[in-house]
Amino acid sequence: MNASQKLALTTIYIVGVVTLPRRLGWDYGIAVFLGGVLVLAFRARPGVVLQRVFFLEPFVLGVLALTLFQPEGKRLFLAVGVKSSLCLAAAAALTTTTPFSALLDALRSLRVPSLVVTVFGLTYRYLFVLREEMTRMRRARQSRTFLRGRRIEWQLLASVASALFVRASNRAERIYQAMLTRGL
Amino acid sequence: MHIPDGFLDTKTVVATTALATIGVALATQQVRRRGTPQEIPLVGLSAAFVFVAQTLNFPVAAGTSGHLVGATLIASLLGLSSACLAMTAVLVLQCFLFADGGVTALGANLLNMAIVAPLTGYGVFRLVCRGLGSHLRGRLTGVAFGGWCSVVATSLLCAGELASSGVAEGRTIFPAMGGIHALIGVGEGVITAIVYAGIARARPELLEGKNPPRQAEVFFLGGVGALALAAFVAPFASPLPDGLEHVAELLGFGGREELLFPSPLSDYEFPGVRWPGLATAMSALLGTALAFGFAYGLARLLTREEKA
Repeated sequence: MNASQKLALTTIYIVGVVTLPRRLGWDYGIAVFLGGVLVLAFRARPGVVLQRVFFLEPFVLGVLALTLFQPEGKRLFLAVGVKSSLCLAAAAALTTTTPFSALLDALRSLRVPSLVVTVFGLTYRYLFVLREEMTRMRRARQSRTFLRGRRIEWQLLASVASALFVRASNRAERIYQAMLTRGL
Repeated sequence: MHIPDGFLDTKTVVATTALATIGVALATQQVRRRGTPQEIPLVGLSAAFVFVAQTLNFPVAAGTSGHLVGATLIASLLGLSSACLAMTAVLVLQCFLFADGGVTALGANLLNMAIVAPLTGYGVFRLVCRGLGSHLRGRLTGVAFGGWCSVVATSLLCAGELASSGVAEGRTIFPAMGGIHALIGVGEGVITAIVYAGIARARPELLEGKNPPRQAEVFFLGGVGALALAAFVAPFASPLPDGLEHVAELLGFGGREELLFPSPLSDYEFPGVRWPGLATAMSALLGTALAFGFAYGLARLLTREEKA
């Protein structure tokens, strides 16, 4: 299955789950079953998918707590909770089996403007580079800092962030020069 | 503030997706029209920067920590449209790479954090700069206050979307979200200002915005933001019963609600319905004034360190 088919199937599945009525019923059983089929069809590892879902569940529960403050909150809590967990599982099945560059190609074939796709591609390409750079700067800064305290910690983190932006914009200039060299 | 899938109902999903698509398309068009290809790598790299900087946890108290959202910082550095595009990249990657934020809620998340957040932050930043002057102290006040405003505006819009989807009641979610984010916003303001001051120290020329603000982009994107507020926040901000309730009352269904809500009529018994609204407005005004005073104090502190 290619990336655009997977993207389409996932979107259809998620839209379907989202439009289910907000009370638990037999249709939720079908949704769970179809979710399982989706995971298997994408050849995702069920363990990895479950791990992702559990990792993100706290964020869902945070928002979900709001439903309890209104009449019939419990029913809403259960229905919305099941829905969003199913959607998370579907999204996890897609993202763990599809390289991001394939998703970018899918976006391009959906006629998303090339400027937008280029920006996404650049962000993805340099995300991990910048993360490594940040880890290095933090470690270096920490090993030269002998004082402790919240104020120092904030200054340290902020100086890392501003240095990171300076480096990012320097790098952007170099990338632009490289683009020009290769004939933009 | 990433809304997961399953919380928004169909009408909210459709409305937010439409508004977000228009907003991102407008921002893209503005960036393209400006026609400096030099900017494209910078937008991409800034998005990667925001993504990474969001993982820096600033310790607050009792084991909790806050992090930068970054919309105001990027908007003050790159200009509004580029910031919208960069934040779009951040949110789309978070959605498709880490399943953070729902697929059907992507429109709402984009509207909140890629359009309204930079729009509010940038608008406030420019207004403050115009009022106080665009020396470093004025700018630091601008980014700090802009950061606070952008977090609060985003949280209110998010609350409006959840409330109009029927997941939470407007009466509980607006004070809850607004109150918590008035505090979180202070953190955002402080972090944004310190990082901005750090960049000013290292490379002051990066702050001399290469893109002079264009009225068109503020106007168009401001329109999208205003529509979003009108659709999701205004119905709950008005002290009058909303349209649906009003129709229900006219048709004589009003009695039915008594079964669902414990005391639906209690707030109509008082002739002065406006008083609670006025109290809310007063406290909101006071909070905003406090935030501005805090931002100004912070800017003074940061610029004094600069001279010492």
